[in-house]
Amino acid sequence: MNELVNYIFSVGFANSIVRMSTPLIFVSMAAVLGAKANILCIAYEGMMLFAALGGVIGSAVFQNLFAGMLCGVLAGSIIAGLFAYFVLVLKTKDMLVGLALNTLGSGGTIFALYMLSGQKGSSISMNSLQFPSVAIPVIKDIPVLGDILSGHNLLTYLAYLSVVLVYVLLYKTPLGLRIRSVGENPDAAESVGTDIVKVKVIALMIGGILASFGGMFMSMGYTPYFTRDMMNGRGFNAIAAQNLGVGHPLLTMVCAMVFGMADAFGIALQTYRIPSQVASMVPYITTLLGLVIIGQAQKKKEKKRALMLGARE
Amino acid sequence: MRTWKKMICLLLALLMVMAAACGTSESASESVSDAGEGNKKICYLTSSALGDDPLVDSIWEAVESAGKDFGMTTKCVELNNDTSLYASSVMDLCESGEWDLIITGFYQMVDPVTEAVEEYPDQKFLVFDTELDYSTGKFDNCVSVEGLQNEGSFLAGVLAACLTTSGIEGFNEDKVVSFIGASPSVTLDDFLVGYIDGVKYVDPSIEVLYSYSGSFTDLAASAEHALAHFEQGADISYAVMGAAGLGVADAALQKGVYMIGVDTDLAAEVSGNNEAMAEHIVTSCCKNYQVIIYDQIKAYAEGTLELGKHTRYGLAENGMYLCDNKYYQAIVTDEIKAVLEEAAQKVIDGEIVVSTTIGASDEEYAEMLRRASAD
Repeated sequence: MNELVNYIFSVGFANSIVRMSTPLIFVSMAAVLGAKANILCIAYEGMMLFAALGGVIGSAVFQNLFAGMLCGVLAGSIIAGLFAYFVLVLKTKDMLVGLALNTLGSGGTIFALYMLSGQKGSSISMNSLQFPSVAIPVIKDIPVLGDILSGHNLLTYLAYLSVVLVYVLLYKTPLGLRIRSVGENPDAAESVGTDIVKVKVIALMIGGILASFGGMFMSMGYTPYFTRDMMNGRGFNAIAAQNLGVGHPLLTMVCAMVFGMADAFGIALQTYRIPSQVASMVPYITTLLGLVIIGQAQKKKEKKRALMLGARE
Repeated sequence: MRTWKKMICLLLALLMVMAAACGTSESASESVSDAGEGNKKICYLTSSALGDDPLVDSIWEAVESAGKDFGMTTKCVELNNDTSLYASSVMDLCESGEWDLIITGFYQMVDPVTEAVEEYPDQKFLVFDTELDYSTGKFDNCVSVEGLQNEGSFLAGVLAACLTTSGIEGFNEDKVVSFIGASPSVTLDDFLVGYIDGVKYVDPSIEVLYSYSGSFTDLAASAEHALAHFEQGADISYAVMGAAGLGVADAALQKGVYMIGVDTDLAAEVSGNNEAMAEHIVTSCCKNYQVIIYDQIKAYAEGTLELGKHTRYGLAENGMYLCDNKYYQAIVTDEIKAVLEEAAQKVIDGEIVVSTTIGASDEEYAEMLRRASAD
């Protein structure tokens, strides 16, 4: 048990949390934008898969990381665009479209992979590129902290940067105000001449780009290959993180990191002879516990508000 | 009018999805060789899909080449891991009466085959990687073959233990080795207990760390498990999972340590454009199904196939082997090779009986796992 505690306070464990939460942060930021614009999008898993494969194919074909990144973003945006078209223009049920696009993400990537490489399992035969790790000067020389903060993948830093960007976008720009107003009160927004569909499409497409980076991190940063269904529910975990973070970018980031920690903790537990079935429950129990806590807090808040309203009357 | 348009759009989208998702389930690959009158027809039914798992692919290769050599029509049906199709597909194939021999395998196909033989007792089945219960009298027209993963893993364990204590560059002082599986099942646990036996054969004081990543496809999860093990002093990891083993190989590359793959020569596969990673894959523990299945079909073609019988292919029968390639040769010294040969000989002679989870009780299994800790 002592060893387990030691491990949890080690640099390796901290790094593991950072790595595991990176894709969740990207996608949960996309989910924040979606939630603020009041769009129920569950197609992030599909976007991630498309982007992950698109990036791998692009970088393998052009042998250029930037071109690969563009291909990845483009591929992810296709799913986001399809979602926007079906839900906002054709007014189909968001849940159905999300489900269909996730299935398309899974089947479509396998299909594309098979067409291009003759393999259905992984992109092992493609010579794709990886985003580099970054050593931050000065900080990397600080003991312990340097090891935790420096030396991560470029996209990991971009993930944390995206939290700030989404925060600024939502709360400090006219577009952010429009996104929030469209989400909270579409009638009021429309009455002052805001094009609701346009604003929602913009929010979705920015989300699509963020989710694409989350997907590319999986196949071009975290690990060097694409494998079928490699997201393994991360798109959904990110939506859960957004829900726990009640849609606030910073709080959502914290929740995504808690999920990353729960994952890392589950892995650590197994190494110390805790049965894998128990250990693999940890992330889900954490989610449930989080939902209960947030739910209770919100209930209290509402009660308070009701009381205050009553007092005013 | 608009509703119609919407409906059609949605339908089209759904169709696209269906086409992409299940397009492969029937006759993805059909090779008809020598379509002469009266030639035998063989159907290979896989619960997963070609390209998913090298093992599934290698068996199809064996079926195809045997079909060509003995003038049989062969076909592959892929079920894409859709559990709901298992039983009905076996039934359909039997009902069509078209196939002289149906080849299928792994434990998940035992129940569907059992159901099918009750209705079609004359249909011939070749079932691999699992054992049928012939005492029930239902399987008189079936044969089952199995590569003994525990004996192959025993060798992998011996190799890992020799390497971790060898002091060769890249291996640390700690007497710790690692095992990572996809998900707990009788077969994968069998890999684990064989591995533990192999490690303990060399040195009982070596600790075996083991964990299950929960997925055959999640590269990142398997990489994290491997990194956690390496962090605790392991310097070689035995990764028993399909494509996700690549995650372990990547972790080994990052940490400058080593891994052992399964089912296919992983080093040869990645060496094409990732030579650096291949150098960290010592070897892969493979089931020799390509030979086993080919031999069975050959026997069937020649009419010498013994029905109603289970055959185990262990080390003695060349059912399992460790891949020998330039990366293996670069790392493994002659002394270690000698130890490996001796260990294999002891298993072949029956001097060592490798533990197995097949048919073991829960208590026996727990006891086997307890041995993983250092003595």
